[in-house]
Amino acid sequence: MTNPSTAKLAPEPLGGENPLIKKLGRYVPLTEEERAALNTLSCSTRKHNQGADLIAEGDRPECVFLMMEGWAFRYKQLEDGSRQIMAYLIPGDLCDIQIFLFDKMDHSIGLLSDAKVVKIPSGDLLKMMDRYPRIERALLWATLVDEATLREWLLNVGQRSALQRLAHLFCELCVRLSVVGLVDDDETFALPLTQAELADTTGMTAVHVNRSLQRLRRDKLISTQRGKLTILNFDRLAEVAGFDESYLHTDGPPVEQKLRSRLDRHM
Amino acid sequence: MARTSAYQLQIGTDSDDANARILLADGALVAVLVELSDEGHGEDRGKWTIEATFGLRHERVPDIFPSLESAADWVSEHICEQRFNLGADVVRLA
Repeated sequence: MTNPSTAKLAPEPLGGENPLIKKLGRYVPLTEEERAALNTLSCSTRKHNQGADLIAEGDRPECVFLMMEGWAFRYKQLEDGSRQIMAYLIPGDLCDIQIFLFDKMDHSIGLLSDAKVVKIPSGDLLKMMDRYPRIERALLWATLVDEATLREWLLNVGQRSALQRLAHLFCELCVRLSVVGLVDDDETFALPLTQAELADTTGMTAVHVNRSLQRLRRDKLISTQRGKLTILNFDRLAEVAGFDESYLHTDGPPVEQKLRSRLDRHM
Repeated sequence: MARTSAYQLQIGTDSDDANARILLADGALVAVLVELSDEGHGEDRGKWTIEATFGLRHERVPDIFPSLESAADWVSEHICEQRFNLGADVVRLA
């Protein structure tokens, strides 16, 4: 095991680097050995098509999915076809690192776009967590952030206005996507979502989503163009939404922040 | 059988969707129907949506209806079991 306080830190992430490493690297400074281990874990990607389910409610979960490219979403559906979307999974996101503890999925995970996904056997992930306790900590950290995000979405659907729900969602996506390097300098990012999917996420009708998007455009807070969204004024959009990014905990645990600043001083 | 009536009025939706009908059954408001007039609706312009319902128990309300009549028929079928007269008898409130 490498001692993190003496190990050589790998160079800063380059464009195109493994999104899992980019994401976990925000939580804990990763050594080259840890990066190599994460690369090995995520090397065999498979392409999947938009609209497919990675796993459906009732299925037995035998592996953990890691998103490398494209978007997925968690959802549950009622008999009449009504659907609630509970999470978006973007590159670098793992779907439930301990899902194998359940014998059946209580929700489905579908694809919002074409995607590259790694199926990680639960045993491999457990072994990695045993061997690299700091990666384990980063993964648990990511899981806690997923739960915090779900709480925020619940607050969104239950208490915020229509306009705020969308504004909040766009602010959140901008922060999350920027962690994995998927936001351009002018705060433009791919948004592979239909208005119906936004409606199912925010508990609104598609008509209401349409009107709210129009309002955000008229107020020059966002612009949209063919599957992409640009945030024209992040601060004002965040103000409209009441968005405070602290629930995303992008700076990592306090102990790692201290370690990071100590390492930065010595490099 | 419910006694139904319909009124035409303008509605504030923070968009150009302003042309609305309110439907009453036995004097009680059961639904607000709105025409999709805003250009942001693209190919759905001219269609109708049920903006709000009152007294509906189970059904999921479809988002968009091809016409005012089809939206009102849905309300008849699912809420008050009586057709609405949407012709000349409609009272203009505004």
